[in-house]
Amino acid sequence: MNLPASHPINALRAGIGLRPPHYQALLAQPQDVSFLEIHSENFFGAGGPPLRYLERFREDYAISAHGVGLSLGSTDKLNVQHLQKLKHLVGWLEPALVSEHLCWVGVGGRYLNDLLPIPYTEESLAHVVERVSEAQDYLGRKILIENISSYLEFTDSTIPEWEFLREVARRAGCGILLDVNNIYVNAMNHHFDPMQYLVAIPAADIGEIHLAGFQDTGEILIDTHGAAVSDPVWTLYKAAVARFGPVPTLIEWDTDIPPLDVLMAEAGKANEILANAVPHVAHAHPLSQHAAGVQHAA
Amino acid sequence: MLRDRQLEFMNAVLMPAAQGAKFTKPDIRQSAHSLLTPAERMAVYRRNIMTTLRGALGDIFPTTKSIMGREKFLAAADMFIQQTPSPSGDLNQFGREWPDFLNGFVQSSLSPLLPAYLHDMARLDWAWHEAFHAADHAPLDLARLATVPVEQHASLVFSLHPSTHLFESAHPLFQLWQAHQPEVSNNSHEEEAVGHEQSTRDFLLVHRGEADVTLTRLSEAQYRFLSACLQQQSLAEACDAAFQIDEAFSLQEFLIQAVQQNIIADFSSTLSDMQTDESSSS
Repeated sequence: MNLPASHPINALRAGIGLRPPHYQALLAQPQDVSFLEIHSENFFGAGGPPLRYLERFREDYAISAHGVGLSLGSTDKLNVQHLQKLKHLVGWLEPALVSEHLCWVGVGGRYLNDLLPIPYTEESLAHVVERVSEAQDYLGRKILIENISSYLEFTDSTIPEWEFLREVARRAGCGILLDVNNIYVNAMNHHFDPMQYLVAIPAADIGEIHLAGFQDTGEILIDTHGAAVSDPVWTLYKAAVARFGPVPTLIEWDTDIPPLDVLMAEAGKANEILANAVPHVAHAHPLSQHAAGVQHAA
Repeated sequence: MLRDRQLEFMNAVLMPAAQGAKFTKPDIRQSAHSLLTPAERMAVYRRNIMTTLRGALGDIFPTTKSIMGREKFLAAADMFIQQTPSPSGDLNQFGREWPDFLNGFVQSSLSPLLPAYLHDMARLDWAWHEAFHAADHAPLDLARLATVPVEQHASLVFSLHPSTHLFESAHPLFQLWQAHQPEVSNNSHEEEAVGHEQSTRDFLLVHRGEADVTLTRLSEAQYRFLSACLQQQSLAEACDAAFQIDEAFSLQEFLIQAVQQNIIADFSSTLSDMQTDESSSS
């Protein structure tokens, strides 16, 4: 496939998830977003409308390929067929970012198709590091690993989640996709200070930030991606941007998907925070260094 | 240890009365978000997982779901999800066994009043799903076809677009399908072939043309012709199959149409087979 060169991401403008209900609105009028993020698996097919649309959007926007099914934390063998499809997609799409989750999705050959937590132990850490390295070797590029929301803690766990995530990045040489909403959800569900999480993550490892909405059942927070970003998460995001500098930021909305305007309004809020952060950040984290990281990933 | 935990987690999440107490931290701290038992925490995961897999089935089998109605669909889906492992982290792979499962479900006493054609309709939904994601293929190269000498035409082997699915049903599936589309759909059409209006058997083509997947009702002769192509039989053999059903089968008209719509998408000529082919035409 002969496609024009892919776009890099402008870290000063937020991106949005690319979902079919918005295809026509996006085609009708170009939007002020720095990138569109896909769920990689939705484009694993051999052809047809999904790939045709994606080729079209790729002409105008930087693309981030976000996987939900690689099951990096599983103790099954890495699914080579899955990895091969991802490599094929990444090969022609040349996305600016490629990411996956710090989780497992299935075991014993059976998939549950959900982002499931792993006990944070030395054994798990060694396993995940090996798997991330294996995936990066196979794909021939650096990937970002995202922290997930969770609804239980394992009695086996001996390492705080933030230390575990930091160590995966350090040992495997991958980047971090920091989901600020997931930090907040877990902080509430498992009783820790979300700032403690932010402070533990080295700025140099952050390649992307996710923002989304959760549902509060009264007993537990559930990461539904079905609501606007909540106020405490915006506050935490401000703290994250102040600490990490302007990072490619995504507004995720996957259930009860609203009209594009609503999503764009959320992106606008993120843009304001990103814009205000720049002068302050220029001291602690030279923008040039960060931009180089993004372009390298592209 | 990690593998044990993952297997335990999977068992706990798939069991109707979810456990998890063995490996889940009991929540002893006092706060608004500390009231859930380990079993309730597993139930959160089970709900998420069921919602995702039910949603995937509903997306891939919209017509089947519409015919069954929400309640029966969910009851069947929950049984299916329990007994059919999802084979991949790619949800588009989930549901291949759903048509056969439904066939058993319809015949069992669990589901009075579900129609017998549900099995075929589920197959049709799956064919549609596969056609949607199938590889692209450029239209047949007419200039190249024109270079094939006339005496070799009978031995040409036509191949169909990768999205093509053919199947026959003992039910009037075409009409049933149309009746259960969410809006008036222009993604279906009936070929103007004579003689099959009253038929209770349907011969169907699912195919992706320029952009959209379409469902087309074929005559039996057209169906036999395309089926022969799909089995890599020669033009002569495909014609035989069609003419056995309908002596008035208008080959040329159908060929032009099938090429224009990119149903017939390619060809190969097998010169060496020519001599042996003579015996096959009756």
